Formats: sequence, structure tokens, C-alpha cells
Amino acid sequence: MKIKLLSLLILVGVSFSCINEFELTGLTYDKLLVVDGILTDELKQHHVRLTYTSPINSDDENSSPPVSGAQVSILDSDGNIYSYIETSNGNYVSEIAFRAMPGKSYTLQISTIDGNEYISTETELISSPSIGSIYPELTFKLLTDLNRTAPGVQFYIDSKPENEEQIYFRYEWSETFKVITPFKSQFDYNPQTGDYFLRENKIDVCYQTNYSDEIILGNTNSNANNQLTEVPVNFVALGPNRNTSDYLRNRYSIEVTQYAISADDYNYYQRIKKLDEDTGTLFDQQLGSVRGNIKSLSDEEELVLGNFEVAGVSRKRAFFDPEDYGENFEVPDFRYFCGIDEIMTVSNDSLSYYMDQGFYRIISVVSIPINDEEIRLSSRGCSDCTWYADSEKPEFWIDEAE
Amino acid sequence: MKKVLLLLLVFISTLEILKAQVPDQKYNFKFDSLLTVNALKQIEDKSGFQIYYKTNWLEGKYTTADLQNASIEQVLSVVLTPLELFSFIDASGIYITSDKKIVSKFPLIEEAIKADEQGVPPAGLMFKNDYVIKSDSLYRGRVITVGKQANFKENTKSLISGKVTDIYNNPIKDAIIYTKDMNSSTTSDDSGNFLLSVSSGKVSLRVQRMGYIPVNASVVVYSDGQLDFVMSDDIITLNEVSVLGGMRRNVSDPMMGVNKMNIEDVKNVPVILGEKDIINVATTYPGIQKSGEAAAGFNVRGGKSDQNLILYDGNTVYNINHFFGFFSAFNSDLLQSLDIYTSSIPAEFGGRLSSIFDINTKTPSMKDFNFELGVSPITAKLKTEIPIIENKAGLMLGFRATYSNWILKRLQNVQFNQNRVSFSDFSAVYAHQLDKDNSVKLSLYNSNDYFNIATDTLLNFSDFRYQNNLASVKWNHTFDEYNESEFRVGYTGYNYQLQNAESDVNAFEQTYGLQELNTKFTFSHYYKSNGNFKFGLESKLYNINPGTKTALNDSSEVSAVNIQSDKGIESALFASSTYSPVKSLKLDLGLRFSNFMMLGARNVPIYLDDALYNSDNIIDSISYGPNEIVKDYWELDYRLSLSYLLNKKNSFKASFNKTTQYIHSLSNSASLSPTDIWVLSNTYIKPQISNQFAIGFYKNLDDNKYETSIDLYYKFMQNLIDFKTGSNFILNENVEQVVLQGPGRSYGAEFSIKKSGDLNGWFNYTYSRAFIKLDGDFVEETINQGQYFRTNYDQPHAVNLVANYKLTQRVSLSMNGSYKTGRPITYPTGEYTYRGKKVIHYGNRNAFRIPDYFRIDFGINLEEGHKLTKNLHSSWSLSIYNLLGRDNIYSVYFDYQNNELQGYELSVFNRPIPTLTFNLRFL
Repeated sequence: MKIKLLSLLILVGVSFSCINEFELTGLTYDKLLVVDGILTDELKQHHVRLTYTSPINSDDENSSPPVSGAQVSILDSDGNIYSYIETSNGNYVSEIAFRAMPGKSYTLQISTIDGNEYISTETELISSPSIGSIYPELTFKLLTDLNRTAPGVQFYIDSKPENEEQIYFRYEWSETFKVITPFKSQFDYNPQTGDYFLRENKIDVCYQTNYSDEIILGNTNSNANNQLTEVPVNFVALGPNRNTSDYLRNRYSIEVTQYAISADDYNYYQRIKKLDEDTGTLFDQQLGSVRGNIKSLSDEEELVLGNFEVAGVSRKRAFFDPEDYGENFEVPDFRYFCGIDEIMTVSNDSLSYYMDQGFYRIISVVSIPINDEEIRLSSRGCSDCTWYADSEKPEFWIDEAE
Repeated sequence: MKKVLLLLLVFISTLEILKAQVPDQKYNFKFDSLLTVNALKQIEDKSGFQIYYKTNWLEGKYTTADLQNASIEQVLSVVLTPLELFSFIDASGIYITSDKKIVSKFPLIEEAIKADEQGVPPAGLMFKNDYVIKSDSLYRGRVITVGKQANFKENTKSLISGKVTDIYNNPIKDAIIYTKDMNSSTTSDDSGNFLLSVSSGKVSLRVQRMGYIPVNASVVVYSDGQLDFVMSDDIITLNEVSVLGGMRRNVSDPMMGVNKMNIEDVKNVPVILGEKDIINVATTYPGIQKSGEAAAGFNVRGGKSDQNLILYDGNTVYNINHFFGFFSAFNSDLLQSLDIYTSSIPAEFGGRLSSIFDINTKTPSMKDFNFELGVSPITAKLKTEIPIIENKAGLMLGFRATYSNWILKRLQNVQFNQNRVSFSDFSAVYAHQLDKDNSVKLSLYNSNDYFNIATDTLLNFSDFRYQNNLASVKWNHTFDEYNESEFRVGYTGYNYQLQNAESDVNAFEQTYGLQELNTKFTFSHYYKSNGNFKFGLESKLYNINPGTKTALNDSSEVSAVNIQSDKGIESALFASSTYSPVKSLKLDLGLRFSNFMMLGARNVPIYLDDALYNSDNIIDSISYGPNEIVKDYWELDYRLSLSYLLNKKNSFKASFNKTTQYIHSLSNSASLSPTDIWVLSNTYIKPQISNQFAIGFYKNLDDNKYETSIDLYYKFMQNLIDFKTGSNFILNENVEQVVLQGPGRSYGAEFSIKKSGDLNGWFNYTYSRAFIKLDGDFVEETINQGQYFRTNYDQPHAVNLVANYKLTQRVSLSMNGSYKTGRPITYPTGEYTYRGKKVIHYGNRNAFRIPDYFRIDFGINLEEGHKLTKNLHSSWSLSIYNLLGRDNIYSVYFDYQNNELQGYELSVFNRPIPTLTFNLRFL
């Protein structure tokens, strides 16, 4: 989305536009309260996080200064109050596990240590229909960081609302896929002793998990049958120079979480999304602050950021194998180049020289007569996935039916 | 070519001596279908003159004539005029020229001398009531009279009415007609008409207009009568013509903030990508600013870009851009003039707050066929004028189109060669002089833009097109010398369609459409003493489709959306008068009483009292039947201007203008964007109102060669339109929920110098500020704590310099320099995490500015002159846009790069762009 202008000018045969980075200086800082809260119909202890805005690119590790010592509670339309307690700085958790009920309305109440009171608008919980199907399609998509289209697999969902209240939806996804290194390390190495021994743990098969960081929205208003059809959730780009290129090399799983939200919450997310995405064009949006549904009772003029979302939740997980993406799908290469000449054969007495740096793993040991051994090493990337993924099989993981 | 020049030099040096040597002999000739070459031989023999000409002019030409006792001039005239040839006689011989006439002195001056010698013309002669005075007059030796001799009374005043045209019968406006004693003067109006009160008797008149040769005429005025002038710009003069820049108009006219652009005058201003663009030239005038090269809109005296009324032959143009604002949608070859009113707005115009851009097409030639062809890297254009009935009716056609698709298809890059972009515009003008008192002008205009680009490259759609369609008929009627009327009927249509076909089941088409039917009647009365009174009536019927969305194909599941249409009538009664109560004081007073009615059928939501306009607060809705009045507004606009002449060269001016706007463009981007929509005032969206006070000091220097002025203004505005951040108004049934309205104020000073002559051009400095206040009853309706804040088009300092230098008759150089303060933008003032996503918080609106803008353009025009192959003229122009290659920042945005917020500057043309254009003209 960001480099739109360049293409525009190439249209007239002139490529004169240019985008330069510049240093952000002279920035001012507005310290404002940010409420990040969500209440769902899942039975659990719900969270609310209170912070202040942090200065742009502040070096502080804990970038959002927490708001501690506040009193947080939720009031439902029947008059029940659910109190929250602060578990760590700025993180508030409901004292008891509870679920929000469809048809009931909920209000977040906050009073800070300096005596300011805040309240959210009353929001009714709308239950979320189950997600119909998740399906992939091999397609092309314009990638804004490349400013060109790239091939990839787009995962869509279809969903069918069960009642007419279910109109606005927000989606999150998490993907988990199997990583199998080209070489299997059979031996482990003890740097203290310089010995190698048969490996007990597996480091050639892992499971990597990533989470969505985009706002994905859908609504049934624009569909003639009031359904959600082909809502694009995650796009996995293929091809060189993409760090996602080998995600689909082995079995892949995606879980989509569907939140049924109110019109106001939908509107709030849309504004955030617009300001985030529709910039860098000839027709830039007017930038400004986006207000959520929290307001201050003490000072009407005070700007409070963030939102308190009340949502019904449904989830669906699906598994895919490379053959599910159609006959045009070519199984991508492993993320590192691991040809046979990447294997290095060393002798026993030089083993510690290579192994002590931690960049190599022992694949195999070949005994040759005359009482010596050849040790085959491979780079860490080609034989060990534990440094970027988890070797433990997740609980939800189902291997292919054999 | 060289020979001709040499010849001319010889003429110049020997002229005065030669003049006296032309013998005053009489001849008798009889040619009976004789080859013209032979006829000329006979003339050579009898007169003893050597005749010089090109034989191919006379090939296959015959002459038939019977001349008795004729002078040599008369003989030559009879022989050559049918062949459209001219002669010049001196002692060394007779020179025949083809398309240019050689004149040693203005015939009219000679005429005046003759009239002086002869004194009062012989009595008893009956003269025709109307004569045409031409600078290349064919009426040599005649005495020019006005009125009927029988009505002559001494020591009375008579009124001369007439029309100033060029040799193609196009009206020339703003020509100055005055008596040599400077006792009375006037200027011609848009149709070239003028009215001048003079003392009866012998009068020396002079007509002047920049770009034309002044006409001098000694006239005997018996009584009220008619006198037309034809001014020529196409004549080789051997005597030096000193154009007395007697344009005292800028000093004496009470109107302020008026810029009259003669399209011919600006043809040398450097162009971008080969397109001569009147709107871009207009942005070099004081008080008119464009925020960047590609910005579609412009801002006048601190007004928003939708507050400018652009009229094309009287019809509103709602989208003046081709290709998102890189080009304006007008083919300047067809245009006669552009009048820009930024301060004093005549009462006959209204409906926008900031300015009126009145664009008028040429009147087609009713005499000679001509065409012009232009080729630039992006477009090709053609214009032709075709006489239909000689001196009665003519037709002009113009067409312009890009051939960039051709370029795109040849691009190697796979990504771009699938893109398609095209635009075109077509214009047709038909003018018919029904009789002496009635004329009709028909004007048609169509523009088309089409883009097909990878979805998301530019906007969230893949296929976008828009069209302007205009049609108008204008009837001018002259009752008598004092009274005339104009009646026009017009239609304007503006539509856009966009499609998104990224996913089959979600493929949709979205449309917007605006139709305006308008009519206007103006009656003008001219006082016997200089001045006029105008009144009239204007009415516009709007029909707007604010948006529809439909499924694009059978497999699409997109649900149809139809936003209820907007219908309204805007009407106005107006009256204005120009007069001077005392000689040094001139007044221009106008009133415009306007009414706007929003009409049904319409459903209007009713909101809870004292509550925010949002969907939750709708408690009811009222349904109005077709054509039922939903809401009406009345406003009285004042348009008052005065000039006080301190002396002939200096004046003081003041004006007070109120304007009202009932139709608004909804745009939440900094400049106009292609998907902007125009909506009418309704129950919730109030009309915008502006009151502007201005004073100015005008001074002409060095024999009127320099025109200088200083204007100061202050504007109060009400109900300016803005938006809640991040809101969406496309396909929004209740836009009042996202619209904010608030007061605004802007003020500034404009300093301007214009120079005429071989080195001509203008320089101006503008200081202007623009502020708005959005202080609603609710936090959601408040921006920047409800304080006045600068608008995103507030650019305090602007300097423009345009200079043209005529190096020789054929070569001219031009340059254009422009400096502006960077426009305000909004900066981040904090960041936070919400739902795991980093979100930027933007602080007060427009608290920062992008860097200042500075650009220099340079151009060379080369006229090839008249080629030997008859009547074809060609010219080349080379322009270099952004000569210094300065990196002017167009906009700034922010994005996360590796979890770190980074600022990005976007610039459009950051290096010099040379363009070569070729033009071919057939006259």
C-alpha cells in the first residue's frame, strides 16, 4: 500500500517519484490513558490492560508505561459486578472465571489511583456463529513492501451467521507448521568434555507458530445472502526473498478465531485500520487520534485511547498438506540451502574446533577401520530447528492419517 | 525565408524616401480571362514598375477585369485580392506577398490624416449606418461616420455602440476604446461589445488590447450609432509599433482580485509533460495555490478546494482533472479566456465560497478554415475551425487523447504492462450569427478517464473511470445600443464508476453520479454615461446519486446498496450596477438573493435532542414525498466594490463580498481524491457562508508598462465542512454522522507586479493564513480541543515569478519560479499497543509542516514562421519542468520498520523533466 505512487507514475512512462526515509525529530509527546480490554463468552479469567501511551521510539524496554493501582470492574446489565485484580504492572485479571452471556450488556469501570474515573459505553454480547470452512487458494497478491505481486496461498474462511444480530466480525489467526530439517542430527555433543554421544532429544522436527498482527474485519452487510464468503485471513507468500516461503513445505495448521462484535467496535477497528494502511498515496487520509468507547467521567475533554470490546468467540482449526494447494503448487525449498556439499567431514581431533562455536551439529559418525572415525557435520540451520521453533508437538497437532 | 527578412530590412531603411516616390498616375486595363502572369506583365509594361512575386502563386490563375482611370493600387487590388495576395509598392518595384501584408504605415493613420486634410466630409452623401474599421482596412479613402447626418446637433453627446473582434470574428474582450483627448473611455465586454459616450462631431478614437495592434480612427459622429472594430495580430509592420500599455483598467475598475487570462498570452509558460495547462498557469496568480504537483485541487485565499466554481461556457465542471490531477481536463487550444474572481465576485455568479473560474471557448471562425495539431510525449490533440455559412456560422471541434496505453504495452516490466490508463476530451462549439441582433452559441464537452491498474496499487479497486458531460445553448439578443440580454440553458453530468474484481464472489461495481440542469437569464442595460445595470435569474436543478454498489457478475454474492438520491433546486435573483457618482469614484454594487430547496422523495432520520448524530440516537424518521420540500435555505449575498482614483495612475479600492455554497464535496484526504463525492445541503448539513472584506492599492508605472497592486483581505466563514478522523462517507446513508461543521477565518496580503513588453510576465508574493474551528457539543465532534487550528492548506508564504522574453520574432524564452511554505501535516505524538498491534497516536491536527516547496521551470518556443508550402505553420517547444531537480516533498507518512517508527517523505517529480512538443497549424 505504501509505494502506490511509483506505479502511478510508471503508468505515464515516467518513473520520477521517490520515497525517502527521514529522521523523526522534534516530536512532542501526549501522555494518554490506553485501555486494552476484551470480554468474551468463554469461561475464563478475563484480562484488561491499562497503560499510557509511550513516546515514539522510546528506548525504554517496557515501551508502554503501565497504569498500576487502578480499580477495575465490569458491570453487567443485571447489576452484577465482576472485580479485577492487578496481577502484574498494568495487567488486571478478573477475580473469578466467568463468561459473558449473549443478550446481556457489559460496562467497564476504571478508577485510577489519582482519582480519575473512566467508563466504557454499554456493549451487548453477541454470540459468534461457528466458522463454516477454512480453505486455501493458490493466487497472487500485491505485496506492499515489494511493490509487486507475489505468488502465495491465501486462506479464506466462510461463515454463516445464525441470527440477524451477528453482522460485524473481527478475526485473529495463529498458524503452526511442521519444520523438518534436511539433515538429521544423530549425535549430541558435550562441549565440556568434547565427547559426542547418541542424541536423546529430537532437533530435526519442530513446530513453528506465528500469530496475526493485522486487523482483519468482515461484515455480512455487503453480502446479498448475509453471509461471510471468502473472507481473506492469512496470506502466505511464496517465492524467493520471502521469510514465509517454506511455511507450506510440510503439514500446516491454521486456527481462526472469530469475534462477533458490535457496530461501534467494528467502526473503531476500521478507523484504526484506515489510518494504518491508507497512507503514502496521493490521496492521504487526514491523520488524527482515534477514539474508542471509553470516556472520562472526571474530565469530559480528556482523550482516552483504546477500546473495551465485548465479543462472542468461536474458533476453528484446519490442517493442510502441500497437495491441498492444487496441482500448480510447487513444494517450496527449505529456508536454508542444504546441499550435500554443505556436509563437512572432520576427524575426531579437530571436532572441538568446529563444535565449540555452536554453529554445527553432528549428523553422523562413520567408523573406518584402523581405529579412526570420520565425523560428519552440518550447519546448525540444516539440522537443528529448535533455535527458531519448538520441538515439542503441540497438543492440538494431528498428524496426517496414514 | 532569409530573403524575405533581407527584403524587410531594405524596406525599413528606405521606407520614408520611397514613400514619396510612388507616382500618382491613372491607368486603363482590360483583362479578359487572361493568365494572371500575363496581366501582371502588362501592368509592368504600362507602369514601368518591376513586379516581384513567386510564379507558383499564380499558376493556373486567370484574371478578368475592366479598369478605367484607376490608380496603380486599385489595379493591383482588383487583380490580386481574388487570389488572396497583397501588394506593396515603392519606387524600386511592386512586391507581391502571399499570406502577410506589408504595410508601411497604418492605413487608418493615413485615413485620419486624409480626413484632417479634407475637413468635414462633403455634405449630402448618405453613408451606411455601420462600418467596419479594420487595421488592414480595405476601405481606404473612405470617411468613417457614425449615426445619421440629419440627426447631428452640435454640443451634444452621442453614443457609439459596437463590437471589437479579431480577424476571425472572435470577440475581443477587455479592449480599451477611448478618445485621444482621454475624455471618455470604455472597455469591451465578454462578447466584445462596448458602449462609448463621446461629444458629437469629429472624434479621434483609439482601440487597444494587449496582443493586438492598436487601431486609430478619425470618426465623424453625427448621432448615436454603431461602429465595429477588427483588430489584427497577424501583420508585419515596418514602422515600429509602440504598444502604449494603456490598460488603466486595473487601476480604475472597482473590481478586486480579478485575473483575466488571455489564453494566447500564456501559451509560452513552461508546461509539464507537454500540456499547456490553464489551471496550472492560474496557480501562479496571487492567492491561488496548489498544494503539490499532483494535487487535484487548488485553494483560493484560504478556501477549501471545493469552494471554487469552475465554469466551462457557463456549465459547472465538477472534476477538472485528467489522470488524478497531473493535467487539467481542458484543451487550451479551444479556449479564449479564463476569468478568475477571487475577491469581488460579480453578482451574476454564486454558489461557491472562494472563487469563480469562468472559462470561455473561442467563437469558431466563420471565414477561414484552419486546424492545429499538437503532439507531446503523452497526448496528441487536434483542433479545427470550419466555417459553415460565411460570416454567419462556424463550427469548432477539438479532440485530445493520450496514447500512453501504447507506451505501457511496450514496457518490459510485466507488472506495469498490464496496467491501462487513458483519458480523452472532446469539445464542439457551434456559433451562429442569426442576424445583426441575435446570435446563438452551442457548446458540447465530454471528458473520459479510465484506469485499470493492479488492485491496491493505487486504491482499493482495479478499474476506475469517470466522465464529465456538458452541453449548453446560449442566445444573445441586442435590443438596441443600450440593452442586451443573454439566455442560456445547460446540462452538466459527472459520473464515476469503480470496480473491484479481486475475488469473484465479492466482485462489485460502485457508482456515483451528479446531474445538473441549469438555466440563466441576464439582462444588461448600459447607461448613456459610462456604466451599466445588470439583472437576472439563475436556477439549477440537481439530481445526485450519492452511491450504489452492485454485484459485478453472476457468481458475485455482493448485496446491492442504493443510497437515496439527493435532489435540490438552487435559485438566485441577482442585480448589479456599475456607475460613478463622481468622476474619481467608481462603484460596483451587486445583490444576489439565493434560495436552496432540498426536495423529496427522501427519508430523513430524526436524532434524539442534544445527542450525537449516530445510529444509536436515531429515534424516528420522516418520509417526504416526491418533490416535497425537505428543507430550504435563503441567503442574501452582498457584492460591493469601489475604486477611488487618486490620479490617472493610482487608485484605492475596497470591497465587501458575501458568498453562499449549497453543494459540498466530501473528501477526507488532503487534496481532492477521485472518489470524492458532492452532496447537497440538507436538514443536517448547513450551507457554507463566507464574508470577505478587502482593501487594495493599485498603481501603474512607467507609462502603464508596470501594473502593481497590493490587496489585503479578511474572510469570516461559517459551516465549513470537515470530518471525523478515519470516517467513511462513501456509501454512507447518513453522512451527517461523520461530517463536522465549524467556523473558519482566513486573511492575507497579495502583492503583485505585471509587466508588458518584449520581456513580460508577472511576479507576486502572497501571504495567506487559513484557520478552522471544530468545537462540537461532544468530544467526538471536537478537534484540537475546540480551538482554531490551521487548515491543511494553510501555506503562509507563496512567491511566483513568470517571465517571457521574446528573443526574436520566432524564438521566445520563458521561465517560471515558484516558492511556497510547506503545507501543514499531523505528526505522531505517541504509540501504544492494542490487541497485540502497535498503534500510532497522532496529536493535534496540522501541528507540523512539510518542507517548503521551490521549483523553477524553463521553456523555449521556436516558431518556424510561414513555410514556403503555403499556410502551414509549425512550432516546437521544449520545456524543462523542475530545472533544478529539487526534491519537493509532496507528503509525509509514518510506518513501522522493524518495530521502529519511521518517517517517509514522498516526492513526485524530483528531477528535471524535459518535454518536447510539436505543433502544426494550418490557417
